[in-house]
Amino acid sequence: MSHTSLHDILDRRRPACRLLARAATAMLMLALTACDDVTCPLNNTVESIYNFYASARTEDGTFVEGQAIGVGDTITIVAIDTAEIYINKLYNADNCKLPVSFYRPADSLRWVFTDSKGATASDTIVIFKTSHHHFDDPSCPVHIWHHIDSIAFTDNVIDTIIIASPEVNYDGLENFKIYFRTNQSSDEEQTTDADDDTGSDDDTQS
Amino acid sequence: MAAAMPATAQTPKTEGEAVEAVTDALQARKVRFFNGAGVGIDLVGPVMKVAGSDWSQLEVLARINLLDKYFPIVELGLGSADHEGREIDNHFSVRAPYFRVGADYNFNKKHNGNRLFLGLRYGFSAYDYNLDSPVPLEDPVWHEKQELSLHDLHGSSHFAEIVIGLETKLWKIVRLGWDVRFKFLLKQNSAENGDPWYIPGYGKNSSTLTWGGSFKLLFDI
Repeated sequence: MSHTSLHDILDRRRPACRLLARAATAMLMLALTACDDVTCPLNNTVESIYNFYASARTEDGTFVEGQAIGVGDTITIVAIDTAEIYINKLYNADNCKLPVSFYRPADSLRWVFTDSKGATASDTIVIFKTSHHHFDDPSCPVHIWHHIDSIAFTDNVIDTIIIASPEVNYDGLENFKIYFRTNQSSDEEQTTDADDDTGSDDDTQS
Repeated sequence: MAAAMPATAQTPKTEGEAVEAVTDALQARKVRFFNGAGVGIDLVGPVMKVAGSDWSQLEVLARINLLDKYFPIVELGLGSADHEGREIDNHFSVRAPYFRVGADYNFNKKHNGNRLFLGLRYGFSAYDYNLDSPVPLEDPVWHEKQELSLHDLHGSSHFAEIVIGLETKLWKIVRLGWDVRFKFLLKQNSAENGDPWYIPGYGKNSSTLTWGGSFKLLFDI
C-alpha cells in the first residue's frame, strides 16, 4: 500500500508553482531582450528666427506695431567677429533664420541693406544670450540651446526689435520681430528702402 | 491526524477525500487580523546586472499581512545605469536610491499558500545624472570646441504602478512570486539640459507609460 504524505498532497495542489516558474523565466527573457527604442527629434535645427514688420509712428513719435512685410532691398548678414557671411543678398524676404554661436556670450551681426540703385545702409545687431547643452537621448546628437537675455541695435534702417520668444531651440518659434522704417508706395506695397548709413543710434531691448 | 478529528468525522479513504479534508481544515482556521509580516528581494535586478544590462536595480521589500487579504508594502531599491549611445559615444550614468509604498489585495479566498494580487504603488526617486562624450562639441560657424561633460544634473520623479502578480509558498517560510507592473510617470523634474535616460525605480525614461516586473523571493517572519 502506497503512503501519501501531506506534503505530496499539497504539492500536487500547486500546479501554479510550475506555471509560475515558467512565466517568470519567460518574463526574465523578455526583460533582457526588450527592444531599445531611440526617438531622436526629426526637427533638430537650432536657429534664431527673425520675422520682418513695418513700423509706424504716431504724430508724437510713439511706436506702433505694423504688419508683416517683405523687404525690397537685398539683405546681407555678416558675423562681425569672423566676417563670415550668414546670408548673402536675401531679396524680398519676410523672414530669415540665423545660427547662434555655441559658446560666446554675445553675437554681433552686421545687416547690410542694398537698394535697387546700389545704395547701401547697415545696422548692427548684438544679441546677448546664455547657452547650454541640450540632449534628448544618449544616442542622439547633443545640441546647444540658447536663451536671449537682451538685444542691442543701431536704428538706421531698423526702427526697433522686439524679442518675441527668448528661447532658441527646436520649437521653431519666432524669436525676433524686426520693425523696419518704411516708405509707403502709391500701390501700398510695403517695402523698406535703404538710406545712407548716416547714424548709429543704439537701442537696447531686453 | 485522524485522532485529532471529531469523532463523527470519517477517516479519508481516497486521496481526493484527503485533499478535501485538509482544505476544509485550512479554511476553517480563523485568519487573524495581523497575520504576520514578510521581507523579500527582487531577483530580476541582480540577474540583469550579471547579464550585462546597461541598467538594473537592487531592491528589497517589507510588508505586513492583514487577514491574508491586504498587504501594505514598502519597497526600497538602488537603481543604476551606465549606457552608451548607439553610433554616438555619449555616455549616460546615474546611481540613486528610490522607494515605493502601496498595498496588494489578495483575490484568492482560500488560505492555501497561493496568492493572486492586484496592487498599487506610489514611487519617488531623487537623483543626480551625468552625460559625457569623448568628442568635444564644435561650433560649426565659430569653430570653437568645448568638452561635453555634464555632471550632477539634478532631477526627481514621481510615478505610480498598477501591479498584477502571483505568489506561492515553496517551503515553510519561503515564498516565490512574480508580478507585472504598468508604470505611469506622474511628474518629472529635470535639469534644463535634458531628461535622464533612466529613472531609478521607474525604468527607461522613454515614455510616460511603460511596464516592468519583478521576480521575488520572500520570507515570512
